[in-house]
Amino acid sequence: MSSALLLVGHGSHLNAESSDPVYAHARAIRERAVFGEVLIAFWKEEPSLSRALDGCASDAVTVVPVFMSAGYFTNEVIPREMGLGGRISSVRGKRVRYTAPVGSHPALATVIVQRALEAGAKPGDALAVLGHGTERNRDSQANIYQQTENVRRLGAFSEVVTVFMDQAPGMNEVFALTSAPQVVVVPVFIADGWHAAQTIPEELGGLPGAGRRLRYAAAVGTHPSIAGVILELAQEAAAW
Amino acid sequence: MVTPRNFNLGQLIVAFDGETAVIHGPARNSNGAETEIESSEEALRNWVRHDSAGRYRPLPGAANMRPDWRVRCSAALPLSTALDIVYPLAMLHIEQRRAGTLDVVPLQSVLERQTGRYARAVTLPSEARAVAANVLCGHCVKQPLWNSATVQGDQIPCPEPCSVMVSLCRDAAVWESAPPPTTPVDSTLAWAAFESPGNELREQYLGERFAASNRVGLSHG
Repeated sequence: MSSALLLVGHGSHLNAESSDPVYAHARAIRERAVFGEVLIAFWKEEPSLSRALDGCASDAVTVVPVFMSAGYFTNEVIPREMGLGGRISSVRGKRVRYTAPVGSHPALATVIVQRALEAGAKPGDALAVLGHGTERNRDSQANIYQQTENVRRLGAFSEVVTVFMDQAPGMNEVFALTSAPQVVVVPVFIADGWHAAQTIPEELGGLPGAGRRLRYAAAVGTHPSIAGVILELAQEAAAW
Repeated sequence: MVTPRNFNLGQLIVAFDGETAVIHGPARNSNGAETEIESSEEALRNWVRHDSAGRYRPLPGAANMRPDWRVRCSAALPLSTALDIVYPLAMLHIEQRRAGTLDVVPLQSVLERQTGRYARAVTLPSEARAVAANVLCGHCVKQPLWNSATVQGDQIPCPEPCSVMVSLCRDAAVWESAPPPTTPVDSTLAWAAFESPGNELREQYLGERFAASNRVGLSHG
């Protein structure tokens, strides 16, 4: 029985770069030739979520949400648009496994650390794990806090804290929440898009640090290691 | 060996140089000069995702593709892959329509299932939906089967309203209760930024919708 991997992303009507990481991870996974097909679909781009299986020739499909948080999109929008009823569904005669989002996998903690090191982090620094967050759906914060805990357990940094863009504790509290001379902020975002590459660094750059230094890393979701996280999620789903 | 026949797909012309397919974008230069795009998936995707002014094209079927370019298909960029980059699922949907297996989903079904920010889209009245479809689909090379369009020859069928259509219906539903004034078109605005006054599709919609509703005597006070 042939099998397919389907990466689903948010996409954008306004920003061409937001879907770039999904294409890049799909390309990297295709090169590994693990799956007969590696497909992509988006909420706001084409191919759409609702037509994602139109071109799928395989009998078994593993759907991996390339999202950083489990929340509205992963719990509601993707299942609704694709006709999924749970972890395992039968859709148009195909057996479809639906995994947790990339951002919930424990392996992401090592990618967060890699991003911090690439930004110049040293062991005595504080690391701030920055999530999007939203006051509208508190579920989305859970795996950001979990990843902070996972990073803390790795023991690479003296302090590890969580901050958010759109909920408390806000990223403007990053100096108040830490004491190390240097703070490295790692955005747990899929893409270096409008927020991660523009609005967030602008806001962080304006924070009064009282002589303390702040470094800002690239988005976690663009790291090449994410392809490996996607494959781990798919391999775990194969055992269901 | 028989050379494959040239064909059109949306705004593309696919010609064959021996057995090698060469995809041409829409022609505008009278001298036939074309920019040669690197024969790779990434280069082609980056090229077709922006229009001549550098604006992002979120709707692959939008008839605003850059003119005067070509890409030569290769082992790194097979023809089927290249066409799927420019018009995702188009060749498949053409085949399925011919075979009678293409699943067509009406606008009502798509709007009914929306939640969150887009839940309001379903409140858009039918006459306004017709305006929205005429405006958006009028800028797209695909033929909306969900809006009673017919497909001829190699035209690309559109089996289901896209997310851009849902977005326009959502914003249009908001405008129903308080129609915003029309504003001169600003062609530098993002193509699908319907919330921005001056967006060309927004302004076209507002003009057509409220001109049309005036004709049928609807009130928008």
